[in-house]
Amino acid sequence: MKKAMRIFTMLLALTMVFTLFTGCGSNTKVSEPAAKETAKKEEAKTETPAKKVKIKFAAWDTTLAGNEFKVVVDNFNKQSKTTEVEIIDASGKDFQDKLNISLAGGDDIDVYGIKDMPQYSSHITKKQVLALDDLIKKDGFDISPYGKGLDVLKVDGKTLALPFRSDFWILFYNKDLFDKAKLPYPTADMTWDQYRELAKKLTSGEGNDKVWGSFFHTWLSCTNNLMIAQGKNTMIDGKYDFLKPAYDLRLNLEQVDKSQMAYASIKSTNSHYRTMFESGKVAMLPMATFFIGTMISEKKAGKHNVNWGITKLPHFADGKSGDSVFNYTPVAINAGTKNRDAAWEFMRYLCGEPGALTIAKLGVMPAYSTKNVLDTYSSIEGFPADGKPALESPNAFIEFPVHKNAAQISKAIDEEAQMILIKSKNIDDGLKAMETKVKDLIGSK
Amino acid sequence: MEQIIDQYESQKRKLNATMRNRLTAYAFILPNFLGFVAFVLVPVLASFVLCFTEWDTSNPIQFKGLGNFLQLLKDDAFITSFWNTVYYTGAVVPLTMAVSLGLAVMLDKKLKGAKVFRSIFFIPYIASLVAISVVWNMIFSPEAGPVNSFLRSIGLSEPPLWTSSVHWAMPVIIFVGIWRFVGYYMVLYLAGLQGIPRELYEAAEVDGATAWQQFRKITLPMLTPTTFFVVIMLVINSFKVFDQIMVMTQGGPGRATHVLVFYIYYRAFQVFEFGYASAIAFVLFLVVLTITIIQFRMEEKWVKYM
Repeated sequence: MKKAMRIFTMLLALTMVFTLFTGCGSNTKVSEPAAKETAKKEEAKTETPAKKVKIKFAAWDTTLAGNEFKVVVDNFNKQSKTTEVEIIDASGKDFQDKLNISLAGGDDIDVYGIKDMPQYSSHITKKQVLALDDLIKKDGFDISPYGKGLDVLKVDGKTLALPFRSDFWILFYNKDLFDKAKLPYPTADMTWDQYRELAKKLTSGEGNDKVWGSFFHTWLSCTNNLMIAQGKNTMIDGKYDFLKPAYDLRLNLEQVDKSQMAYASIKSTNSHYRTMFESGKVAMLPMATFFIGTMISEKKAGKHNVNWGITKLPHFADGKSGDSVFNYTPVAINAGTKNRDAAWEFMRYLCGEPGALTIAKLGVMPAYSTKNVLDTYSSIEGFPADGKPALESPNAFIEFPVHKNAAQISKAIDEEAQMILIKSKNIDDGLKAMETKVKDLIGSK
Repeated sequence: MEQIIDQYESQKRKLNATMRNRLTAYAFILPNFLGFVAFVLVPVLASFVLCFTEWDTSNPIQFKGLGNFLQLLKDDAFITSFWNTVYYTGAVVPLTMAVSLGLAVMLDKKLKGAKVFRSIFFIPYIASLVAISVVWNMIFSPEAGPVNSFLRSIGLSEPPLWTSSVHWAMPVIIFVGIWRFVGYYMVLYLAGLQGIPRELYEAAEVDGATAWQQFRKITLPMLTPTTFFVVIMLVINSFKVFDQIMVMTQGGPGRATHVLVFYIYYRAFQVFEFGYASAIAFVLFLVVLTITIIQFRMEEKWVKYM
């Protein structure tokens, strides 16, 4: 009896130690292939005796298969005789925090990716970006393929970053679900009213067989972008009653038609738009073009078998077809870099045509948009055959222009958006509260 | 004369011995103390200095005087966070005390399997909080969670949305907070219970006291030193609540679970306003310090030492 007791106590102690470590183990897996990669690189280096300048490039999720940063960096390292790029990786979720802390701590990162526009603003205020105008002028780098969109990255006339990817919002739909319901596929000139009708018809089933007609994700932009697409307002205007139709639509879908999963449920069940769409549980999904690459590569990998299509984002009756919202993934050179020229050599490769062609082949939308690049993009294997018109000449507007307090404004608006979407406040009160909350933040530009 | 010199010599030797003793003691403390200085003392002092400045980690530090504190008074987010923290503490302190004392009294008996139960109640305290929070989030999930499935099965058509509801999010956080710490305080109470001499109970039984009377007149008063310690620890820990909020709700929905430490984290590491974040931290420190001082002042009124 006593012995049994002792064994039991031992077992309990072991369980305790075990539970202590659960939830901390995921990182090691990721670093393993990374370690192998560096080992490989080490080998490659011994073959080329010429001394290369080594620079560090911070980016996220580069250990995932087919990551666009990684592929471009590998190609760059193969062709460059003067510069060798080393990737500093972090997972997408932690990247911004880690980067901020390393930059604050004075780490020798030379070039870094930026996840979104509020973060870009924050890097500018902290003077962590190098002005690129002299470098652009010096070797006549052609910036015209970026279009006038490049202006949103300029502050006081200075270009402080180049865009690597450019994504704008379109509508993804599941062709099989439309066929099953005997409905025609959505077209480029669809309004949100028509979208609502369609969503109602496409919703069916219960429990595990539930199919949702519509799926807006929980991000703040998923709702707000419907109105920003009209180009009349942005999120730093300080007035938000213009957002009302978007919240009306979403709440109607959720509460009246029940054709869209409720915001609270998505949040608490951690439902992800990707898994929802890939498992065939969602008929229509407004999402940005970055999802195209994911759909293609995951279908190739056998992770889903959805017969999908794309078309332009629907618009409200007073808007027009082609209205959309775009977002850049900017890349900047650290103001404190000691390898300015090497950093620029890499940057113009990454954000210029060579990088653009490389990532277009992966299904990733490059910001550097020549005819050559677009053709490459829409002719890759797995791209929906009838999808090319959806990407042509979008009339897209920026969601978050550069603003010193962009991150805080975004949080304040998000807090109130949550209150509206969980029905703790009605739309008018919520939008009013956004205005009061951001008032001081907007003013101190 | 020689005697005096002898005395002097022996005294000197004694002094040397105590000196050496002390040095040995210091040498033992040193490694730990160095860690304390590097990772606690210096940061705390630096943070105190930062209270009066504006610093975003890359632009030069600017002196702001009391500016940060004046800004705090007008900051909605700070005021909401403050009251949310008070709400959390107000609920967690008495409830955790009651539950852990109850468990301790029950498990102090010579029950079969008491040891097993003690261990089980202690597991939440050492388990990884992130894992715990994720699991509780699933349990309280409004659509698919077991809690709401049960509530629906007994006829509640619209059960609360828990972490997605402004009114229920904080109670869920409080519940998880209590569940997590109850085991630790139970162990403290168990130690306290075992320190109570058995003769007292025997004498009371002879006099015909009921179990409830014994609990009120013997157990509770004899436990006051433990309770005093438990209250102080609980208050300090409750004011510092952060991790389960970070994982479960991120301060939301809206600002329903926005507490002080979460706000400090947000200001410091999300928007990089270290000066302002330090000012909030300093206010939090003052509040906890004041409460603790008051508790020590009140100690002699209710704490009974044998």
